[in-house]
Amino acid sequence: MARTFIGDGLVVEGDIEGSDELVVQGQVRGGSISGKEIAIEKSGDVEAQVQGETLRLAGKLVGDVQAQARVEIGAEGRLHGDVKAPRIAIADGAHFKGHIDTE
Amino acid sequence: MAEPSTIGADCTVRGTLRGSAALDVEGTVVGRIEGPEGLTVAAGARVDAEVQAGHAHLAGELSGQVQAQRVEVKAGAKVQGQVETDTLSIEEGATVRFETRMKLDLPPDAEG
Repeated sequence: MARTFIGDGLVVEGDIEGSDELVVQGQVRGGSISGKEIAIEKSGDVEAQVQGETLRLAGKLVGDVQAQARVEIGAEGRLHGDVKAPRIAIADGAHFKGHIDTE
Repeated sequence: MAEPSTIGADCTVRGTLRGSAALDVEGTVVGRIEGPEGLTVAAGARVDAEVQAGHAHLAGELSGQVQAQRVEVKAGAKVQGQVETDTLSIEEGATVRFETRMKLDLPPDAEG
């Protein structure tokens, strides 16, 4: 299984597509992110549309999320955008502003 | 120092990647790569970009402009475009079609 890792300090301006496992600790600006298992970690800072099977958010995301399986926003996660996913978990302490649709 | 970043074999990035930590490309990058101390384009990877790096280690396909202090082209690599560097090495078995610009420290009488 291929892994894509956007490390802390790396800035991507544009689109990231098609990764089985995508871990973001750096910054992503504009465009869109698509993959299977997506994790935006604590230092991660993303402004993009996100499409995947699962999203684990522990960092900051501005943009809409569409997940086929589940979305998990950790206690330190911050999301500003709409979520469409069959399952969603939001931890106590998380920031979330947007619309949720689990249908 | 920051952890190296990796663009996985199944991943395509379209746009600009900017940062000083090491960057390994195993998948596809179309656009620009700015600033990594060490850039590796792995065998099987494809980069179609303007590249500016400290050290470029090329084993996959690259087309575009490369600016780096040191460029190593490995056997099996395919590189085309422009390469601007201080130190260049090309292994036997690499496919290359590029224009090079290297700094030459020639004695004054040999210049021209």
